[in-house]
Amino acid sequence: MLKLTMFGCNYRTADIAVRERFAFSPEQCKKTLQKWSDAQTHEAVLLATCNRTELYVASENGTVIDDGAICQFLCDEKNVMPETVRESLIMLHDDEAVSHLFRVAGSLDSMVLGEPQILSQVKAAYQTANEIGTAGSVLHGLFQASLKVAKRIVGETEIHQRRTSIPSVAVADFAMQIFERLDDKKTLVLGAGEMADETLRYLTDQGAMSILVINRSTDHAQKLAEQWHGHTDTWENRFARLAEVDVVISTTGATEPIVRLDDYLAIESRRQGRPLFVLDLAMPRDFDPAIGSRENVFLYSVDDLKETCERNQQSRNRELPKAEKIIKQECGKFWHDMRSRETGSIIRRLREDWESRKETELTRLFHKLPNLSETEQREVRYAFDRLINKLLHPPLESLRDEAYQPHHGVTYLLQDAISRLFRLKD
Amino acid sequence: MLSHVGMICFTACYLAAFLLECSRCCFRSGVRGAVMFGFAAAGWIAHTAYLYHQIVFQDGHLLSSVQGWMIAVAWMLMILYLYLTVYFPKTPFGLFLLPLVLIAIGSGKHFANAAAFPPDSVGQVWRMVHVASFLLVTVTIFLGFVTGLMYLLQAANLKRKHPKIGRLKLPPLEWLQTANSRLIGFLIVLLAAGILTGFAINRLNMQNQNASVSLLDPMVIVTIGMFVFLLLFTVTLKKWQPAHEGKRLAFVTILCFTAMILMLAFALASSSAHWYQKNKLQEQSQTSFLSTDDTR
Repeated sequence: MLKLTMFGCNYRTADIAVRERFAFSPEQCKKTLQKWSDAQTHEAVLLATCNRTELYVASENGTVIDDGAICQFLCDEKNVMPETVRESLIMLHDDEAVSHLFRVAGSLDSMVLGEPQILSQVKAAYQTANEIGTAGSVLHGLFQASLKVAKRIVGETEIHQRRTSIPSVAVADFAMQIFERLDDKKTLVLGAGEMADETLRYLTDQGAMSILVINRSTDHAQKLAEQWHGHTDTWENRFARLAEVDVVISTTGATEPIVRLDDYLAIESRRQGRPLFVLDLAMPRDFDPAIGSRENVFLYSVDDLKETCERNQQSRNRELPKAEKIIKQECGKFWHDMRSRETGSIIRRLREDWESRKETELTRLFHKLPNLSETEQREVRYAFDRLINKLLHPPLESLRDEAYQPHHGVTYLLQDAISRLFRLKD
Repeated sequence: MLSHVGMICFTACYLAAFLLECSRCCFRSGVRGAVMFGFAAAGWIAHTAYLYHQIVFQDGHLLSSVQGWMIAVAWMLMILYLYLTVYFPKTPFGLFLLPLVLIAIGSGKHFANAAAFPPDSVGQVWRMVHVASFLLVTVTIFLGFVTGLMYLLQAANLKRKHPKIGRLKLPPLEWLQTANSRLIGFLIVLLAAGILTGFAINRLNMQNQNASVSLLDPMVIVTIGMFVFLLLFTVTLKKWQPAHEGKRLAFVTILCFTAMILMLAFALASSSAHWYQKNKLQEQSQTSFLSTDDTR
């Protein structure tokens, strides 16, 4: 009988202090699974990210999984007293555990709904368990199914389609709608704040290579430029540089616009009509809004992007029922596959047993009746086959029906009864 | 009979593909792309079979009629559509391209008995190059209309600070501008080839004392006018308000499309020497048959 348990904590159940205590690096994950493999016979996969630490344990042969032992094992690994964190830890069994993993892999349980990193983290956890050898047939099936769920959610819903952070929306939804590629474009960063840093990460992910940082404080500019393999220039040269670049990220703390319409008009002819994408993330704004009305200038402020971010978030939320439906379908399919596998094994063993008995009886019969022609022997064999099929049909049909439309616990009772009645050996 | 069944078959397939393209505005689907491509590909195969039937079993002069011409244009547009669907599966090119395909087929059917090219026998090679050039010109203008329209929509949308039109995501402005620029360049080369071969055919006709096309023929005037305009536009574009380059390219592609539609409408309605009425053709073939008989 199949048993599944998930034990651990995540950002919904535990605050950051508890999550920090249960944090595992990839190397620590390997060591922990190695220890599990030495001490336990059950299958295990450890999923550890910044928002969650979850240990999935499975047993196929009906061995009881001791919840207390799992809790103790994980707490011992991190030298934590279970009593001190008990309220922050969760334990899910069977259906709940399967459904939870599917939600995690599909990014429905993430802090930012639809964030893409979790899928690679689930894959990495499964990969590590495979390397150590703690993932057996049940967890193989479970994690493969979870990857399929994630793929379906990506393909059939819009949860992963729309970005929700301002820099990611700015780059993916706006910059990439103007430019086909960014590797041949020049980027100018005005100011050296955190927002500029994050936006540069998305821009470089999309291929931006030529980066120029201009800031009143050259030290900060130098630091940011070094981090992104860019260059710096003086504050006074900003207008001259504005004429050369294609993308501008502005995040200064200036109290008044640093680029006015007149400043832009003075350099506009030098731009030769090339499109200019300006991302004004400063508050108050660094660019005069009137610049946005010039031909080939695409100027976006935080408010413009915020609207898209909120719309995207709402759109993701609207897609949730579709994703939940997929999870429900796949949970049903997973349990059906698992039950079919177990039922299939019983059916195979039962058939093999009866076939072997039939062959013995036929050999004895043909030995006693040596004058039977080949045609007569074939007829006798055929009659035996028909008899076996007719005798086996009702119990096998009941088993199959139970696998398709299970009633709580009946599948295992039936399997157990058949195994005992016919004395089937494993 | 077979030709009628064929036309209905591929038109229905294209219509189904177009309706599926339209459904992009309403919902997302994991299988729609494959089904849409399946319909379009099935339609294109039926379309190809239909064209083959027309060329081999009918008169053999497919492009000598308006219907044949339009069906061939639609066939080539479908090749472009299939290519674009494979390489840009998330971009709704079909929403813009498939209506043009359906209009081309519909107008071909509508003008089935309207007009035909004169059946000259001189300069077959020149005629082939002439016809092929203008066939490609027509396809390029149709495609340019699509990319031009997409550019204007995308630019307006980005200025309004909306990255998408509803659920539809158009290609980047830079890509559309490059496409428009290349299509105009391609159009100039094709128009030059078509005009030069036209002159060569006319000269051969004059040498053989056959009827030739006048330089004052409306189609000739519009074609040469379009060629000169595009040439001047391309040469002066960089100097003349470069900030508006993208928009101007888009407007020019739309202008070319409009000019072509007007030219076709005018030519069909008037007495362009490029088009012969069917009854005229029949009269001519009867005359040539009689004259051959007399010679015997």
